Amino acid sequence: MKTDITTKKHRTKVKLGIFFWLCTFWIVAVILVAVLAPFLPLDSPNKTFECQPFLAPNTSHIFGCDDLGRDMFSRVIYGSRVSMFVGIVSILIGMLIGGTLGMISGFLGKKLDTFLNTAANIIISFPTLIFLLAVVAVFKHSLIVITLSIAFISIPLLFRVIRSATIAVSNKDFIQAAIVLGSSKFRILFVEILPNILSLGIIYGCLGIGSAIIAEGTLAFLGLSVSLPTPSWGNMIAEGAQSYLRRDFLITLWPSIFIIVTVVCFNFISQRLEHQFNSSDNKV
Amino acid sequence: MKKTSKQIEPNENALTVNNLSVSFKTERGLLKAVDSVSFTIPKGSVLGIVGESGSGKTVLCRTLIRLLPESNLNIEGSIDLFGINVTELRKRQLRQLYKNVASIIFQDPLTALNPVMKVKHQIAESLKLHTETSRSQRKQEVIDILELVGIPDPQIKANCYPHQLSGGQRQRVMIACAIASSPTLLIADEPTTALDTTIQLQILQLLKSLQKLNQMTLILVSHDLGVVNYICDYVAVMYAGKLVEFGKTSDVLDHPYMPYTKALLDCMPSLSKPKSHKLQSIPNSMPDPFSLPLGCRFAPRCTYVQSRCVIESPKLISDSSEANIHEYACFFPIKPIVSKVALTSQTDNENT
Amino acid sequence: MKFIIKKLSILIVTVFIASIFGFIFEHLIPGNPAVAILGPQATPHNVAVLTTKLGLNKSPVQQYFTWIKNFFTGHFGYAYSSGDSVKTLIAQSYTETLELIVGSQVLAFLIAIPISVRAAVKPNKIFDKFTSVISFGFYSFPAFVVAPILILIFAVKLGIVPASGYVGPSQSIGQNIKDMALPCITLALGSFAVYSQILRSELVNLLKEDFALFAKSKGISKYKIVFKHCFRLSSLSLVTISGLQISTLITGAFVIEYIFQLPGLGTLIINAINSKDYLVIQAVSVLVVMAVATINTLVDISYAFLDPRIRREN
Repeated sequence: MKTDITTKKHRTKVKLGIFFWLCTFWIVAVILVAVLAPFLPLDSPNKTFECQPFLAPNTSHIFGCDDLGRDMFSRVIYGSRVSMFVGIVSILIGMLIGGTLGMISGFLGKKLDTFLNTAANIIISFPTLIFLLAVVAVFKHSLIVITLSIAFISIPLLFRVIRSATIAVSNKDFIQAAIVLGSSKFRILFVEILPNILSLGIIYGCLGIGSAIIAEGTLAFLGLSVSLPTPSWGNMIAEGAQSYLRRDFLITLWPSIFIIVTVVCFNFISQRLEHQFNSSDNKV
Repeated sequence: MKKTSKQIEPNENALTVNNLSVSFKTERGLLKAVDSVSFTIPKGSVLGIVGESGSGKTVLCRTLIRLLPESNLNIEGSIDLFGINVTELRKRQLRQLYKNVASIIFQDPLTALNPVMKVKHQIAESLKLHTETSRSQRKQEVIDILELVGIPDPQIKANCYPHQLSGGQRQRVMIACAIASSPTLLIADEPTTALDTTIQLQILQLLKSLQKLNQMTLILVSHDLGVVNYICDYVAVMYAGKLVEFGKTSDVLDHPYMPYTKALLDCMPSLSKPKSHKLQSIPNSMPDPFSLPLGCRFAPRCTYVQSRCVIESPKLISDSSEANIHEYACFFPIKPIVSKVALTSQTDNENT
Repeated sequence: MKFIIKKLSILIVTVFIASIFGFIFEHLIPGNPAVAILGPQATPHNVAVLTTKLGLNKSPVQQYFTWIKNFFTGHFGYAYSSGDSVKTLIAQSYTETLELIVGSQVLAFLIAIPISVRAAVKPNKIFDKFTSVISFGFYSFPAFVVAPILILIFAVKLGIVPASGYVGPSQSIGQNIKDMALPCITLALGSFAVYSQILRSELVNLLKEDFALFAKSKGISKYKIVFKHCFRLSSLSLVTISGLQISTLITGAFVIEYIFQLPGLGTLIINAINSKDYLVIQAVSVLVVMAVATINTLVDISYAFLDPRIRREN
């Protein structure tokens, strides 16, 4: 009998596609530029009358200049520092706390799981912006406060994703086998389960970073994030949109393009990886 | 063995399938679910299609009325249904076919009936498309049909949702939907598989009586040879997408030529056989549809296998020694007398 | 029944937690709440009077009960900047927010339903691919990016509608519609993206189900199958989704109100943050949290009544 044929794995690798790599390239580039901004040959983002106000894009100022004659290109670059910092750091914190709780809760189950899950569901039903507004109303609008409060919001969401993934993995035969064989719970959790849910963590992490960037952008747009003149994409859009839309829409356009492209890239990467993950999961 | 007493005139064929192949485009390549199948059945007869799961019987019967989603599908060959060339039909013509000629019932009535729609609306839907009647008239017709399929208290049950009915009643409702358009062809895709054994017989009897009453041609898909034996005039045995044996039920089941048919028969438990009789099973499983054996597809599991079977694929040949049609695809058929001539052409054997 | 009791108890817990947050919020405000309420010009005497009146010298539990009593009887206090009662301010603003949300949802469904039906009937064809890219885009675009672009095109370049401002429907319905057009479209685009993606995939899956195939075998056209057979089932999940959306929707509405300077709850709370009007922030946020929780619970319960299968189990 040709049993060898039926058991042979048919690994058809789904290609991630050119757009996936373009998105990854963009995000890596933005992160690099954001980190290295002070060392790059850029004009100071806050130095006024570097050039003529509302200067159209040209070779020395490729994005033009804003109402106070600040170089738009370096403002957009420096603005990315805020967005990327808040997006990545808050989700890292959220993943660390929410993900760990989710794994423990999903693996151990019982009362702890019921309690944490109900708590997560209740917190999720709170409107996020209301929470953020209440926080910035009480505390100062500093980068740290905003990062931490966005991290706090992301905890129950990431908790829920990781918890259900952990439950799904825990029910698989090899985990059950490990439990029967008497491996320690700690070992099972970190050696057996963690590698299996890592990909899901990355998928939802990317999605979360996109949402966190938008959340920070919204606060900044409302004037409730880092205070001016420190540029962030959100407050640059607000500045341009509220006062100079008629005069020079480029002031609004540049940060808009950057925030949209970055968020779309994160969402797209997440979607693509999820697709890849699902199709490879079904094949094995 | 049961035979219909009805006289079937020659040339009055309900269905002629010629060299029909159905393949799906999948990520792993082309999957040929049905491979060069040809057969003919007369009007008003009952055909049983048997085979293991995955043998292509469901794909075959759904292709007969082009019910499969056609985005990744490739159909070759021809289907002649009461003179209609089904493979050539356009979408609108296909709907006409469903409205007036052909109906189908599925295996599981729980999934095939809309869970959030009352029974009466689901039946009225088929009626409305078939005939132009007033609302009140149609209401009565729905009740009549429910009564015809043997639903107690049809007035009350008509207002139920499918989940409020029992399994047997649900299957009766699905049959009611199917016959509401008074079709000339009814395809029943494993109509009794999802039911309790006690209900199975009732449903089969219902199908049989309806078939007689409406002079329908009935195609019954089943993996249960007992069911086929009970109700069918003709039987087609499928294996891995191929038609391996076809003929009158009595001929095929009494004298199977193809070892696969015999193996299927040996798997069947029977009360009449002595208890000491050992129940057989067919070793191993069906070949992977993506890597089919070169020769006969049953060869890897066949107890009668010889070297020719592995190299060469047998064609469907007709046993010309008998008056009745009996076709099989095997080089070394199990027969009392080995046939002298093996006709490879199928077109010659269309008429019995 | 059990299901409803469970949902209601979760609602009560949520409302309780929201009230605790609201109560704590008042005490997180830097300085004495009495000073915060009265403002810096308050005399020590007035502060002392208010401190007793607010019960600030009582135990926290007693204070909490006083707070709860006041809150649920509509005594939210007075806005520090204008001196108006917070209750009046909220009563004046919530209709605008409601109009924006209802308008945008009607719009979102009007666009999403035909598009997703068309896409689902012919999946993976050009129309489907095109609309899925569009909705993916709108899903990713935040309101504060979309709104300036819409203002630029429709208000600045074309001049069809005003860029900001608001006239109540009682004064001039025509002007009101013009004023609300851009805000509603901005809010609708995000919802449209969510609804169309969900409805499309839902319909594609339902069309693969046996009952859709059985309906097809009756000779019913694909569009009719969608509308008569699939819609009732997928409307159930749309109800759930729009329930889950309500929180996103309210916050989205707040931002959009601020952008277009509509005098709604959003503008009220954001202005309150900028002027440190804590009692307004407190009242609006606690009310919104409670409203969202109530709506979610109602949606969950209505879901049980809409689906005859669940209805039976209860």
